[in-house]
Amino acid sequence: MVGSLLLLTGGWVGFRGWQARAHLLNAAGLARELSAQVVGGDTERAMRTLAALQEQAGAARTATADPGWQLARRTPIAGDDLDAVRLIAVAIDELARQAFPTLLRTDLTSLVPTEGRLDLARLTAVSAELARVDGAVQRTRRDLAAVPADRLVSQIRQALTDLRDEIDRLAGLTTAAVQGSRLLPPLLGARGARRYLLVSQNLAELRATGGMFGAYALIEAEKGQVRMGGQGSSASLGRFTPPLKLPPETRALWTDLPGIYPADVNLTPHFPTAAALYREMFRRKTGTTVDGVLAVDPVVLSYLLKATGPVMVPGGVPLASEKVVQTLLNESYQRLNTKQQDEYFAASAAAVFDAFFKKNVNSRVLLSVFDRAITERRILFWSARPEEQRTFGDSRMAGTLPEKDTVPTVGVFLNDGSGAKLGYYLRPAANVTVGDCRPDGRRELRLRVTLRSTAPKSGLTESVLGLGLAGDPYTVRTLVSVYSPAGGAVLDARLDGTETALGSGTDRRRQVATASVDVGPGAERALEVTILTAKSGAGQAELWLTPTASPWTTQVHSAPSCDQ
Amino acid sequence: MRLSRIIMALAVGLAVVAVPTAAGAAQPQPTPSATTDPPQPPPYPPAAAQLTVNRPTIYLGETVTLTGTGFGPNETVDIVVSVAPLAAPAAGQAPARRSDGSTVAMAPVAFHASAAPSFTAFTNAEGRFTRNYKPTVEGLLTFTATGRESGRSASTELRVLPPRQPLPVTGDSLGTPMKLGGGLVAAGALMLLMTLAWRRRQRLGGAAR
Repeated sequence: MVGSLLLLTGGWVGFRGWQARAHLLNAAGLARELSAQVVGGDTERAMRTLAALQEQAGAARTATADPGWQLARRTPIAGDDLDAVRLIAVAIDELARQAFPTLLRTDLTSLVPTEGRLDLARLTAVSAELARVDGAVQRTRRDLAAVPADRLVSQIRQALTDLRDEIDRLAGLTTAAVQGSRLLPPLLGARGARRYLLVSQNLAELRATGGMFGAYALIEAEKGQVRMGGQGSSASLGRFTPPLKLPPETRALWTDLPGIYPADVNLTPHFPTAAALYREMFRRKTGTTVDGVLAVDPVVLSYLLKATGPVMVPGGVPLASEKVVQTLLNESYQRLNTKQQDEYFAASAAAVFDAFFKKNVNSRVLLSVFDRAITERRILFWSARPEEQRTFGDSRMAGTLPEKDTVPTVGVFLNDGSGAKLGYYLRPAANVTVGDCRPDGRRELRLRVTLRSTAPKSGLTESVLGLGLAGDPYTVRTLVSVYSPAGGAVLDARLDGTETALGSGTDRRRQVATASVDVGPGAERALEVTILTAKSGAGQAELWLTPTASPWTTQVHSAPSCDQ
Repeated sequence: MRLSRIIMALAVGLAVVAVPTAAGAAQPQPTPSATTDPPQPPPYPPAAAQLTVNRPTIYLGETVTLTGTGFGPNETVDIVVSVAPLAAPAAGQAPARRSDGSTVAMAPVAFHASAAPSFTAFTNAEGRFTRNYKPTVEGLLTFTATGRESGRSASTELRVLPPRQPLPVTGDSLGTPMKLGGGLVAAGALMLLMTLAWRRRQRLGGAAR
C-alpha cells in the first residue's frame, strides 16, 4: 500500500518534471529569440514570441508548484534537483513577466534622432523604465546565484549554468543601458549647452588609435538639439613649443611629439590621453574649451552610407558604401590638388549631411551600423568630465587601455613613420599562439605580425608620397608597437627571422617594444615576437589592434589552461 | 553590452550625421623651417627610437646589447642606469603559492645599486654606437644616454627577470634525496672504516697468535 503510494507520487513528480523540462527548454529558446528581436527592433514578432514565452514559462512554473512536487522537494536525494528545477522555472517566468515586456515597450528604434534632434523627455522616461527592468533582472540573478549547484545531477546543473550565463549577460546589458540612458541627456545638453570636438581619423596615415586626426568640427548640443559649428584642419592648429606636458610613460616612448603636433597626440593607443591633448591644443589655439572629443573614421562613413544609399556629390564622384574608403583615402589624393581636395571634402560633407536628413534612413540598419563601428573601435569618445568618463570608462567606446586583463591581451599598434598617405595600401595580419606554461607561473605567447604593401612602384602623386622618410618614397615605414598583456613582458622580436633593434618602454602596466618596419611596394615583412603573460595559466589570448582601412586578418590559437 | 553600445551610439549618431567624416584629411602638416635658431622641433612623423635594445626583457646573468643612433659623430656618450622594482602585481591578484598550496607573503625587495650605475660608449663617424651590458640586479632598468658634445639624449627600458630556472626543482624536494644520499654515504663510510678496523684487529690478532 505504502509502496504503491510512493510509486504513484514518484510517477506523478516524474511526469510533471518531464513536463517542466520540456516547457523550460522551450522557454529558454524563446528567450534567446526574443532578445535578438528586441535588439533588431522587430517589435511585431517579438510580441508574439513574448506571448509564447510567457505561456511556456508559466506552464513550467505551474508544473513545479503542485503539492506532489512540493512533497517530493523534501525527499533527501531528488529534493535538491527538484528544488533547482523549480527555481529555474520561477526565474524564467519572472523575466518573462517583469523584464521582457518593458524591454519590448522601450522601442529602441524610435530613439534614433530625427531632424538632428533627440527626444530627451522620452529618453528620460525610458531611463526610469530601464531602471525597473534592471532591478528585476538583478533580483533574479541573486536568487539563482543562491542555488547550490554542486550536488545536482549533470543535466540540471548544465541547465542552471547556462541560465546563469544568460542572465549575467542580460544583467550586464540592462545595467549598461541604465547608465547609458542616464548619461545621454546631460551629454546632449539637457542641463546646459555642451560643446564637443569631432575629429576624423585619417586611416591613410596610421596612428595607434586608427589614423592621424586630420580634421575637426565643433559640435554644439543643447536640449537634445545638435548643431555643427566651425570646421578646421589639425594643421591649422599649428604646433606647440614648448610642448604640452605628457604622461611620463608616453614621453619616454614617443619623445615630446604628442605634445608638439596635433597629428601625433594619438601615437599612444590610450584614447583618453590623445583626446585630452587634442582638447588642450584646441583650447590654446582658439580659446574654446570643449566638453569632450569624439573620433570617427571613413570606414564608419562607409557603414553609414549603407543606411542611406549612395550620395551624390556635386562636381565629384558619388559616394557609395563599397567605394567610399577608396574614394576618400586614395583617389581624392590622386586626382586633386590640395585646394581641390578641401573643396571636395567640404562638398561631400554637405551632401552626406543632406542625405541623412532628407532621405528616409532605415533606423534598424543605422543601429547595427553603430554597433559594428563601436565593436571595431572606430567610434571613440572621451568626456572631459571625470564623473561622466568613469561611468563608461570600461566600454569599448572609451578606448581605454586597461591596466588589468580578464583574458591576456596582446596589443599591436601601428604608427606611420614615412610621413606619407601610404597606409591605405597596407594589408596587416596578426596571429597569436598560446605556448608553454612556465615554472614561474607565466605563460609564453608567440605573436606573428605581417605587413604587406599593395602600393604601386610608380605613378603616385606628391600628396600621397608625402615626406617619404623611408628613403624610397614608395616604401611605407611603419612603427609596430607590441604591447604585452598587463603585468607581462616582451622577450624578443625577429624581423624576417633576424633579431631586430627595439625601442622599449612601459604603458599602463604593459611592456611596449617598438620595431621599425619598412615595406617596399608589393613586398611583405613578418615580425615574430615572443611575449610573456603575467602570472596566469589561462589558455586564451586576445588581440587589440589599430583599426585600419583594410581589415586585419587575425587568428588566435588557444591552448588548455595550465591548471588542468 | 549590445544595448548599451546602441544607446551610446545614438549620441554619436547625432554628431556623425551632422558632420563630414573625411573632410580635410589631406591637410599637409607644418614642416620645420630651415632656420636653426631658435632650435626647431623635429618633423612630425615619429621616428624609430634613438636608443634600442636587442631584447626588451632578459634573465639575470644574460647580456643585453644597447644600440644608439643619431648622436654626434665620434663623441663620448654617458649612459646612466636607474633601477626600479618590476611592477607589483595588480591589486586583487592571487598571492604567490607554494606547490603544497600555502601562500607566500610578497614583501618589497630592497634594490641594491647596480654594479655599474653609469658607463660610457663612443660613437662612430655616423653617430652610432653599440655597447653590451650585463645587469647585476633584477628589476626594471632605465638607460639614459646623453652625448657629451651634441647634448642629444635618449632612453630605453630593460626588464631583468630572475635567473632562468633550468629544471623545475625546488629546494624542498631536493632536500630529501640529499639527506638520504648523504646518510647512505655516511653509512658506507662507517662500514668501510669498521671493515678496515676489523681486518686490522684480525691481522694484529693473527700476529699475536
